[in-house]
This record gives sequence, structure tokens and C-alpha cells, in this order.
Amino acid sequence: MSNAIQVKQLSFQYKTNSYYSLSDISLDIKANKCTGIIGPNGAGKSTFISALCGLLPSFDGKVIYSGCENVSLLESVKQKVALVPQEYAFYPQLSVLQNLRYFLSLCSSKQSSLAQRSLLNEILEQCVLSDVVNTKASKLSGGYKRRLNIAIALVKKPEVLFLDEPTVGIDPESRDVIISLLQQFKREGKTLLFTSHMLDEVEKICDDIIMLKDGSATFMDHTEQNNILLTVTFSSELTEPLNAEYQCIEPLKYQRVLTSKSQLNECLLELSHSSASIEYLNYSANSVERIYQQGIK
Amino acid sequence: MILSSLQKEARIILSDIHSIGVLLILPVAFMLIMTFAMSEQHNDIIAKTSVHVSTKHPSQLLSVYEGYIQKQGFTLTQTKQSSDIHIQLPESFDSNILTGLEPQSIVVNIQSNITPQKQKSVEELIKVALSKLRLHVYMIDSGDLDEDLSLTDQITEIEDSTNVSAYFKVNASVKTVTTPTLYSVPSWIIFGIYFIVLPVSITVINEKQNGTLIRLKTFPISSAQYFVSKFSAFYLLSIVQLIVLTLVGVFMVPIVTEQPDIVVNDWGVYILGGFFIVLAANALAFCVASVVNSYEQAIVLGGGINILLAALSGFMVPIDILPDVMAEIATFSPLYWSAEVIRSTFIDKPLSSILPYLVKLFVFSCIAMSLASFLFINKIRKLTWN
Repeated sequence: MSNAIQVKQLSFQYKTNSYYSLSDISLDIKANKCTGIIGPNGAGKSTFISALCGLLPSFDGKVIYSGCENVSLLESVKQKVALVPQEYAFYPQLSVLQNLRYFLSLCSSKQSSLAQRSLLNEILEQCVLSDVVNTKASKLSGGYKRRLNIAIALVKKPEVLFLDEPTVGIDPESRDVIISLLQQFKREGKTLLFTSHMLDEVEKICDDIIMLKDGSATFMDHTEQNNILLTVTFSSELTEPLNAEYQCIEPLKYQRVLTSKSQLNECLLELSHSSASIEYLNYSANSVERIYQQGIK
Repeated sequence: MILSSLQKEARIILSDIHSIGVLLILPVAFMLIMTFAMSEQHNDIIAKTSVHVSTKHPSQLLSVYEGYIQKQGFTLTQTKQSSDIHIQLPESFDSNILTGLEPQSIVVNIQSNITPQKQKSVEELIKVALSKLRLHVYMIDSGDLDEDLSLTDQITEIEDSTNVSAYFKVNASVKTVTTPTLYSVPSWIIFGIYFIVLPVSITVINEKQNGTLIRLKTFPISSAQYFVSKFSAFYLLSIVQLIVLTLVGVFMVPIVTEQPDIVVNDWGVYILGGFFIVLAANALAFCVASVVNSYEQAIVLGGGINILLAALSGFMVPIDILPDVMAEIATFSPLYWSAEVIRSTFIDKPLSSILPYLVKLFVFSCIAMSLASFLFINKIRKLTWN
């Protein structure tokens, strides 16, 4: 699996803060996958995205986009990335089509008008906006506005899409449309980075999770076979402590997150030598909710 | 890109009634109101001033003085209460008119509704009336004025003999503004043009607040390109605004206010001047827009600067009645230079007298645009997600 973005020892401190908002983060973001960025408020999500998008004036470490090793970060972002901010980042006074045409004019001067028209039609269809093409953006419902927000990002034909809470404040029906749209982007091979406080959405869409807390990041492969929660209950108190990766969640009951299925055999062997007998053992896919809860502890 | 930008900004402005109000309706309203306000002539102002002359003792000269007061253009009233000005003559008025009246013996009471400028004119005319009365008495005494003539004829004879206007030929070194429209129309056209500061600032604030600027930062255009396209779009919109305001000011305002026609003597110079004026207005607008961060700041700073400069440039009060210091300050204002360019084409001044203003506007535009582009690009550079 190739990487879309490589993050190496990324650290950043705001001049006004005494602490690091991002602290020595190194991880790889896989191409053609959806990576969810979760964490409590103030964890550094916005700063992390700003860094990935070259929007921070300066930081320590490196962010490298695949195929853009020799160009500046902002230049890489201009070539490959589109942002979908949480706000409705378009002109409410203009119609859907006028908005799309304006943003397209900023990035496709070399395209023929026929190619531009065909791209716009494709985007309108994909984002289910064809029936409101001449409606003023200010008159659209919340769901349509969210879709227009995403559609504008698509005029760049981006390889990487950053989406900040793209479903916030809309009805379940519109939410489903957007989620299926994002799943379609995944199928098309786009790399998605997605922040949300709605963990069920992250669960549904994301392949990988980046959990941010106090400027530190934990990267987790969320695909079922690579993100396993092992739960073990002993019949009596342990006389020798278990490996530090086990977490005691209640008396006699321990949990551990495994990052690959191959770890399971090693664990079972390890547990068979433990100082108390096993009464119950279970493994299941780890939920984003649990990852989040564990992360913020 | 510039065409798309122009279309976008035009649509945004046209869909916003407040922007249209600020850019077109407000300056037109000011043109009409201020032309009406200034259209009253000096003679009309004096005629509207009522004067009552009284004395505690019988005076034969009272009616003669009243006659001269009337000849100065004032309206006489019978009662003190209904007058704007009450002149109280002293006891010894008749006997001492030639030999010399007591200092400060004639008391002039002026109502509070008389403006300081009007008061000065009124005082001078009351004194002129007294001087003529003294001449009248002297000429009766010396026999140079026929006693048998009626009082009206006597007054007319004195008036004719003291009228020296025919002896003068005034050569003004510069062509001057002679009608209220020539004063107010250029001023309020410029006031409207410089109000482009509000739409520019509000657009930039909107783009910043709704995340459009941050999104644009990731589009394949540089901040400088974006600045140029935005500046060009607003420049072209200001040109359209100038055309509309010029048409209204030159062709409509004189008709509505019943003032003499305005003649643009050289449309070529007018158009040339228009390009420089619009450049300066937009350069200033982009400077302000690059500094402000909220609608409140835009209104206070953008609107405030415009109103302040308009006041200092003599738009609200004609510059020739401003104190010397303020008149001097006005000569440093880009709004004043802009208004002078337009006014000069209305009163047929030669290009050589307009040129210094054009140079000043161009230098100002270069400085303001450099500053604006630096501030604008720096503002975009500092933007981060959320």
C-alpha cells in the first residue's frame, strides 16, 4: 500500500503558548484510503490539518506528498489537495453553477470550455446538485449547502481531500447522501482525511484513525483484521503482572488492542503462561468509540 | 480569471441592496440635497433676514435709516419680537450723526438662529446703511441733496452716487466655481467613488469568515494573483459607478435642482482623470480591507476615513470658508485632489492645472497599492484552518 502523505517528526508551537500543539508526530497516511482524525477539542486537530495543508507559517519536521518530494509543501497542496471547511466556504449570493464556475476559473485556465462544462456536469451529478443548479446558494437547504461545499473542492480534481466535519448540522437523509458520496470518492481512489465528532460516521467511512491528544498522535489501522480488541477475564487475582499493554478495566478483567491478527497467537501463548487461569476470552473488532475513549483517558 | 472575478463581484454587489445604496443612491442623494442647500443666493439670504429699528426718543432720521436698511436688501418688520435683528438707536442719534456718536451707542441684537457667516455679512450691511445715512445728512446740510425731493428719491440719489460697481473690472487669475452644482456634484461623485471601501472590506471579511480565503489558499493561484484579480474587478466596477454618477450628476442634478447646466469641456480629460481617481479610491479601499477583521471595523474605519476625508476636503463645508489651517490640510487629501480634477473639467481649467492633481493621485495610488498588496498577502499567509 503506497503512502499519500508522509509526516516526519512534526512539531509545532504557537508563539503565545508554552506547550507544543503538535509534538514529534511521525506517521504515514495511506493513499486511496479514508483516514479519520479524531480527538477532543483542543487536541490539535486543526493545527495538524493546517500543518498538512501547508497553512502554518513554519514548523519543525516534514510533510511530504507522494510524487511532490522536490516541491514546497504549499505547492504540493495546490497541486493535489482540496479543502472542505466546516463553514460554507462559497458565495451565498451566487447560484450553485456560478459558484462552481468561479472556483473552476481559478484553476483551469488551460482547459477547453467543453472540458470545463463536462467536468461541471459530472460534479453536479456526482454531488446530486443538478436540480438546484440555478438556485442561489443562500436559498439552499443545509444538506445541499454541504454538498455544494464538497462539489467546489472537486473542481480542482484533487487526489487528496481534507474534510472538516462535512455532515455537521444536517438531517439524516442528507447525511447519508454525503456519506455515500465520500464512499464513492474512496472507490474512485481519492485519499480522504476526515475530521468529525460523530464517531459512528468515522467508523462507517474510515479505514485508518489518527487519534490526537495533547499534540501527540496515535495512528491506528481500523480495518477489521488489523484492529482487534482482546478481552480476557481471569478466575483469580494475578500474582505476576501482565504485559504493560494490557489495561485493567475492572477487577480480574483486562483488555488489549492488537494491531494485527498475527499478534493474536503470541498473545494466547503469553496468556497461557500467566499466573492465573483464564475464565473467559474474547476478541472483536475495536470500535472507534472505544478507541476514542481509551485515547482520551 | 479577472472576468470571472468581475462577474462574481458584480453579482455580489448587485444582490446587496446596501452596497448599491452606498455606491449609488447615497452619493446621488447627497448631490441633490447639497445642491439644494447651497442653491440659495447671498441676496436671498439677506432678504430673508428681518430687521426692526427702534429708538426710545422721537427721531426724524429713523425712517431714513430704515430706508437705507431696506436698500441693503433686508426686510423691515414693525415689531422687535418678529425680527431676526433689532437695532436700537441712541437718544442723541439725530443731533450727533455728523458730529460723532458715542462709542457703542447703537445696540444691535442678533437672534441666535443667525449663523456666524451670515452675522458677519449682516453687520457689514448695517454699517454700510449707517455710512450712507451720514452722507445723506451731510449732503442735505451742504445743499448737495435737494430737500424738496421725496425721501425715496433722496435715498435713490445717494444709492446711485455711492454705487461704484461700474468702475471695477475683476480679473480672476483662476476660473472659479459659480454655481452650487459645480461645487456639490464633483464632491459627492468622489464621495461615492471612495465609498467602494465598504463593499471591498465586507467581501474580504466574508471570504475570511466563511473559510473561502483558506480554501482559495489551496487553489493553484498565488495570493498576489488573487489580489490583482480582485483589485481589477473592483476597479472595473468603480469605473461603471463613476459613469453612472457622472451621468446623474451632469445631466440630471441640474434639471432637478433648477440650476444652470454643467458642461464637461473636455471629456477626454474627464475620462483620463476618472482612471486615476478610481485607481486611488480602490488602492485606499484595499488598504483598509487588508487591515480590518470585522464588519464593525470595516464600517468604523472604512466609512469613518471616508467621511473624515470628505469633511477635511471641503465636501460638507466649502473649502473657501474653512479656516486657513483646515484649507491647507484639505490639499493633502486624495478626495480633494479627485474632486478638483472633476471640478476643473467642469469649469474648463487647462490640463496643466489638472496635471499636478493627477500626479499626486498616481503617487498616492502606487504607495497605497503597494501597502495594500503587502498587507493583503500577509493576511492570507497568516490564515490557518479554523
